[in-house]
Amino acid sequence: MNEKHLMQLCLIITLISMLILALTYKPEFEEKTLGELIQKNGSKGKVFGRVEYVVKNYPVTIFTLYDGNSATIYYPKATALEKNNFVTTYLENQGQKNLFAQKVVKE
Amino acid sequence: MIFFCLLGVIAGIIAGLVPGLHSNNITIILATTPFFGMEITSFILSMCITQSFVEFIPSTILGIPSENTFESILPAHKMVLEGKGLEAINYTVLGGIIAVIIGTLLTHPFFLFLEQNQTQLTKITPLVLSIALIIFIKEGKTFKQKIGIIFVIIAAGCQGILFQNQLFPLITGYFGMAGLILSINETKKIPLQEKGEIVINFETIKYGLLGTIGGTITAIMPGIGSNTAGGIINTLKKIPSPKNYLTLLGSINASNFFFSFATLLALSKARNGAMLTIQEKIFYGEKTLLFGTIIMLLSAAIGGIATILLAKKFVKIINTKTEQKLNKMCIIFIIILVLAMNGTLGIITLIFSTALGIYTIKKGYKRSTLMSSLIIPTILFYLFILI
Repeated sequence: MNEKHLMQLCLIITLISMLILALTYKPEFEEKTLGELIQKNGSKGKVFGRVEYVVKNYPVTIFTLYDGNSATIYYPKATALEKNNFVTTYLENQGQKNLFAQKVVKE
Repeated sequence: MIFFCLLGVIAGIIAGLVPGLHSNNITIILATTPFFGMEITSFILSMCITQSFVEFIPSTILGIPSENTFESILPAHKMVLEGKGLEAINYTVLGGIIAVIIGTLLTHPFFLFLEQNQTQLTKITPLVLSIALIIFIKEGKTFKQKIGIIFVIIAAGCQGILFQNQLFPLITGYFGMAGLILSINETKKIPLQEKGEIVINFETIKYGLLGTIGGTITAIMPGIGSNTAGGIINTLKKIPSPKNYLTLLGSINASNFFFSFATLLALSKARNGAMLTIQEKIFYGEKTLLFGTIIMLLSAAIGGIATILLAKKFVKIINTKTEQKLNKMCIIFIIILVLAMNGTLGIITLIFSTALGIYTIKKGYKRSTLMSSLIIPTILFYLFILI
């Protein structure tokens, strides 16, 4: 086997991997609104909104987010969020209208 | 995501070709950026996997090691002097490809195994590392040689503790500079490098598999790097052929990083700088492991192609030189690099590590003994901090 055959093997693996990715990949967090997320248990989405009220910041963060609808968000990390901050949140509906944030990014 | 993967491959090629530059340096910068999710994760994964292939080029052609490739210097250099430098690199690529193919099939069972055996794995790490040191000592045939090896272990361990933030000059001194200085008077002309013909047989695949197993162990146990694992395997089971040893090292190097991703997801433990960054950037979902695995498989394949093509360009550097001229060029290049990246302390580290490296070679001890510089600080960390 020479380097040409080794490159051909690598090329085959490249094409198969690209095909699998193209067929199976779906972005984890699509742009959504709070209204859409609350309606369906287990749904995930990326939501942009305004912090309406901060219940606590440490050791976890609980706050209400507003984007036309309001929802209480639980984020398992300390933050420096304040009222009226604009944030992008990566949310998951864990049932019973509990929204769990995997990431909260202050704009 | 494929776009970020390709960007990562390009970054990995640059990091692999430039001695002293590591993908960990680049990921530290990325950690401060506001990017999240699978896109940035795929960039980091593809960069690191690609580097694990490409970094064998400078260590083979120029004799300048990275922290992941120093064990390859001797067998690779031997093959360069036989005009088989391209073949040496192709064997490391083959090892890496075998590792990622097997890794893709075994990632999910490995992930499940880790989830169920977390605590036991942390406790046996210092024991495994201590056994490695005992194996190094046992390599001495006479009592005098054993004492000499113990001296090297203690000296290297002390250097590892003293110069713990100077990893590049430490490793380069042991495994690059020492050999370059000792062969500075070599007047042999480096033969023209032939085409890289490789032979795939049961032996090659066996060492590829062995390397994959070694890589899964290093992915679980911090402190045992891919080269330490290679050195231990070579000590336990003498690998007669440089080709098989290079296949083993290529396989360990790729699978070490490959399985560190599953380790991160299963144990929430980062095994390297790249995983530390990914830990902050990733979303833990059902398909995270699957997509990460496919990205690494894709990047490994592209990295393999890039390595083979770039190696052909790189051998042109050495094809017209004598070994003496090349060694002198490399020595000057290393000194400039260490000074630029690590400053005066780096040069001091280089002097001490080169001195110990020369002593080790002159006494005929295995250079893998010098890995005690990494092993002893890790054992101490586990004994005094974790337990």
